[in-house]
Amino acid sequence: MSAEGEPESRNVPDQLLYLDNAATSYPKAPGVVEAVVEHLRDIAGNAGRGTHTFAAMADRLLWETRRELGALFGTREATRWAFTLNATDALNAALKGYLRPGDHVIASPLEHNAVARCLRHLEKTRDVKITRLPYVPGMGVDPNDVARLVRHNTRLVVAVHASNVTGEILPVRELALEAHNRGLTILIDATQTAGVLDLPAEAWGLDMVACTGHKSLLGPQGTGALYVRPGLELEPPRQGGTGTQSERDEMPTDWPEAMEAGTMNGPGLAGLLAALRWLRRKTVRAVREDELVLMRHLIAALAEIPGLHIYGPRKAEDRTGLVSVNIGDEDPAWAATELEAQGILIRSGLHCAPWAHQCLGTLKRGTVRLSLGPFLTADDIDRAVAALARIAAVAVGVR
Amino acid sequence: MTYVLVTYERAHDAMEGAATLVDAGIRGTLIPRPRTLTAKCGVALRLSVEDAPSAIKVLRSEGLLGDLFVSEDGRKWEALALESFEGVKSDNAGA
Ligand SMILES: Cc1ncc(COP(=O)(O)O)c(C=O)c1O
Repeated sequence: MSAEGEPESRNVPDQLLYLDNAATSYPKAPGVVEAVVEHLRDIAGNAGRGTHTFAAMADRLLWETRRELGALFGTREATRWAFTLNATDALNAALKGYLRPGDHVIASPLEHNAVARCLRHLEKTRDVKITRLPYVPGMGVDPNDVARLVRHNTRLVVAVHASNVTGEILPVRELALEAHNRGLTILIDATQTAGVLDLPAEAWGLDMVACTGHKSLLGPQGTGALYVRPGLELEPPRQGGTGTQSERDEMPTDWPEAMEAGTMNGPGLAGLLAALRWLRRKTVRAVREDELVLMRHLIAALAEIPGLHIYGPRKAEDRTGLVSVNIGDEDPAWAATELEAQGILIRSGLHCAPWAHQCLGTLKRGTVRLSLGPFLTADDIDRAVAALARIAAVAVGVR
Repeated sequence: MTYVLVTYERAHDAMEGAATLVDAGIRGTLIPRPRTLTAKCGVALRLSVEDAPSAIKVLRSEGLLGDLFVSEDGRKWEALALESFEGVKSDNAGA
């Protein structure tokens, strides 16, 4: 095993450089792979089903994972963390479980399709009304706009903590204050920031927080979680067995059982627990500091490339560990293919977030997105920048 | 370098197409579909000109041939008629 802080193994050939961590992180936190394997090999229990040794181990695993999430997000009531398949599942559970027919929602203009498509669906099926907060390039989102847009039937503000396209961090604390001043509930999508930026849910008064296990939390795919503050009740996303109150054929209302019918993803959550423990030891602050060093370096170097346009804030502090760019008028798909030819894996296109691309004016074209992870080095950044510079030179030269 | 590109309407066909070429020992690469081409599937199958005739023959026989394009630099793509492949044309004449 390698030193603390280093990923344990990289099966991808050395010459490949993975810069698509906003899609899913690679490599995962040290210990994640082993925890998944151990669970499959050594724990036969189904959490909440039975009291034998294995079932108790499975129970304990879920409980500890909820506690780690609570520690990460500064929430005291561990039972208010429900496990989900991913962020999409968590956001669907929150929106569909909270919104009633005719409700009005104020959404950030940078929402991922996990929110946008869900809201559009509720617009059709429940006559939910949607207003997007204005977006001013260079200025972003103004929390004061909430007050202006509130209607008599407004019940929810939903905002992504940081955009998966522009990377910019939204003023979610201020949005929460504005929402609460008007008696509204706030839902935050922390998919791109969990484990990298502090999001003290209780201190900031966040009513609901959704996150996914496989991105910045550095855990396995198929894991996610939704926090809902005590006292806020949601319609459960599904009905079924919970291993509790089994004499009744109605869903229990106790949390987290109310939100977790069906067998949980035990192996995945074992991996997530290992990732959360690694993050706690490393600390969110240290992860963020490392990321800022790399991001400052990346943005400064990209700014030197002739013909390359950088979207989103110039200051690394204002964004998370990703950057969207375009080269001249070139097709991002071409840039992606050329980067891959040089062994660099990134994501081009719309990143499942058409609203964000509307904000940037890139809905037709998309962007080239580079997204970092905590195990990259300055050399990796240099290599990516050099490759982009070569591609930009070709583009400029040919034109 | 000149490339031939096959675009698809369904991601499933693009994957099947790529797998079929692997089975046939012919090289083909899945790349993000250039945005100027309007297929529904976001990936496309890229072939070298040298491999294109044999690849297209195999894909066609499996019913996995989408629309064809050609580019000299991988940036500007032009539609390509199936008939421009001599081998394919003569093969199909009898079919
Ligand atoms: C901001 C944001 N929200 C939600 C999601 C959905 O995450 P998942 O695919 O894990 O459900 C993503 C992932 O792309 C995202 O970037």
